[in-house]
Amino acid sequence: MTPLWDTKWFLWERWSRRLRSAVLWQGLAGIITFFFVWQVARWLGWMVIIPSPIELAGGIPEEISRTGYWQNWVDSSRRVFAGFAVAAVAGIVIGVVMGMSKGLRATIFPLFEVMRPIPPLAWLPLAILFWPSSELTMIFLTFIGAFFPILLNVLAGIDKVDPRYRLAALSLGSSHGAMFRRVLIPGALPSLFTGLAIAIGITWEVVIAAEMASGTNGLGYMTWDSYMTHSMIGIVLGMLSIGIAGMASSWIMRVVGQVATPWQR
Amino acid sequence: MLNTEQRLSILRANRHLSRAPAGVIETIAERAEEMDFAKGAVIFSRQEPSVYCYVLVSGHISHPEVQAAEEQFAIARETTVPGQLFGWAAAVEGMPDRIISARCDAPTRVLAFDGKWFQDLCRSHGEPGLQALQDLVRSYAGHERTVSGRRGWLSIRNVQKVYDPFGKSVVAVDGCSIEVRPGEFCAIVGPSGCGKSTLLNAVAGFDTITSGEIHLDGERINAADMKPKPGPDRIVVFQHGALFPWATVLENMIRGPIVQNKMSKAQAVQRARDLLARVGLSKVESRYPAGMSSGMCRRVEIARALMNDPRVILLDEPFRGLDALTKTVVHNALLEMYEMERRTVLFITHDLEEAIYLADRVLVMTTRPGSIKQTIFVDLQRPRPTELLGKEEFLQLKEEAIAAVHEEAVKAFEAGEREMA
Repeated sequence: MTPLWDTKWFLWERWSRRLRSAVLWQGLAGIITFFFVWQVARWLGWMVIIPSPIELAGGIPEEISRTGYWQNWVDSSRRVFAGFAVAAVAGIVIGVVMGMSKGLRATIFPLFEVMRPIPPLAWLPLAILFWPSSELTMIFLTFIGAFFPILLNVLAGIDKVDPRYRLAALSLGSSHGAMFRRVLIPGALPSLFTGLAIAIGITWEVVIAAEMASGTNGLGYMTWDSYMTHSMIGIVLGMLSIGIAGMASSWIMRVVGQVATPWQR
Repeated sequence: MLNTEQRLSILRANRHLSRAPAGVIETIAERAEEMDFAKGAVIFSRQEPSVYCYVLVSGHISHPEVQAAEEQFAIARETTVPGQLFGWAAAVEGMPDRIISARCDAPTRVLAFDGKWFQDLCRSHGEPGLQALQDLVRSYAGHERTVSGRRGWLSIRNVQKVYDPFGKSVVAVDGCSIEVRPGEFCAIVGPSGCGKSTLLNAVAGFDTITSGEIHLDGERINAADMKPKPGPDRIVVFQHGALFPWATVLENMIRGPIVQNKMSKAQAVQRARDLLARVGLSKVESRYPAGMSSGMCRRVEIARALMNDPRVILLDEPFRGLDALTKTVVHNALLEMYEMERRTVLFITHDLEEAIYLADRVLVMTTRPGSIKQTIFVDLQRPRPTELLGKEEFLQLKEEAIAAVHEEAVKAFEAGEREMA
């Protein structure tokens, strides 16, 4: 048995098991039922404003093939990931510093407590005035949306590291550096990834709203623009695209999290 | 034959006995047996059970096992000064075997008295008597360490711990003194909340104490005026286990030696594999703790402790919450590891049966303030098979112990009721 064969067999086994599992088919059945009920409602003459699934299926290929559709994906994703990346770096660094030093935490935390309840979109007017371009405004808003969940989860993760592990590490002779690298970081990782997954969901919400308000491109802008041009299919396609983008981002975060924390099952 | 006056003057020349309270020396003088030995006679030899303590009257005795004189503990290669005490192992709790022998190099006359009897005599003189006995015990434990060259002499001296001294001031431990001899398996049993864990944390260096001192191999590791530092010479195995969940078994094992820079990674891995193989855990080396049973985790954790070559292993109710069947398996694994290296073990539990099965000596701790109320010697042969749990000798020991602890448990319960009221 060569290792390659082994891997192939393993992959096949995994996929076939997934295909055979009821969960997959139940999920599919749910989605199909949803569209079916929608279609039936249209046949019955309800919800005439909204296009039926069959009309959508007919109209979407044309919408997608229009110039600029995929560019909207790229534009929105770029904003999401730029804001998210800055928020992740800032959230992790500030979170770790606050987690390590009681004094800094006591100094910074009340300020953040005041800022945290402010919805990201409430920053919009100030951001438009402050940032020189609408691009930076939108990235800033996604940053605000992602920053607090990441920060709070990093903090919670560090607090949650069981004191037993710290004591055990001390007992084994760990220095400060080793304690940080080998106990606090791995101990806080699961919570950090929870924060990142929440944050990436929020960034998509924020970027869409920001694009609707001040953008000239992106998926959010496309949806809003479709409304302005009375393209029902465009509106629904925009919504679907946003849903898929959010789902895909969360899925990527989850996979990265699983790879980074192999001890969690 | 010596008259009483002569006996008294000889006994008074001894620095330990002269510190004992009034009456002790007189009683010894009255009761001690006079013995004469010819040149070349052996008074006692190594590994014999120790019964008598001796005070030299005249003559010359040598102890060939003693390598060098140790001022601090008054150990010499020879006993030549009248009034000098030797063979005092008998006066130490636990009746250890003789670790040195005594041979007469000249015709010798000694005063001998029974060690057990002497212990009772000291105890009957209240606090000062106990103090004198404790000094003797302490000297002996140090002496044993020096002679046997073994590490892990743990000496807990009059330790007190008060939580929140300026507020509610809860006295968790008070006047607690324990001598654990090198290589001894010592268990502390007591009801929940009696201060067992406080004591263990003080030994581990996780917590400060408000008075008293703790020494390990003569080195001060915790005292009222210092901030203790935990270290790999005192590894703790925790109540709920503290294997790092983010590291595999092997990574957990090598963590200690690597962060201490004691070994290279390759060396540490090699040693960890050897150790795991010896305790039958090779199969799990690449598993994460979450993927193993709690019994297995505890075994790995004890092995991880051994990786650090500790002088004393501190076990804080490590088997709490394991089911009965797993417990017996882990008990045997612990005994096996203990017999492999004979490290000093301080074992804390509320389970009396477990304590008797595992330990050489079981100390019963009172409730707040915690101090040692009673000592139960476990005179059971090692290795101890599981069948021992059903044997008459074990059951009898257990019954005696339960009777002793019951009183304490009732007191604790009543104290709790009072606190609630």
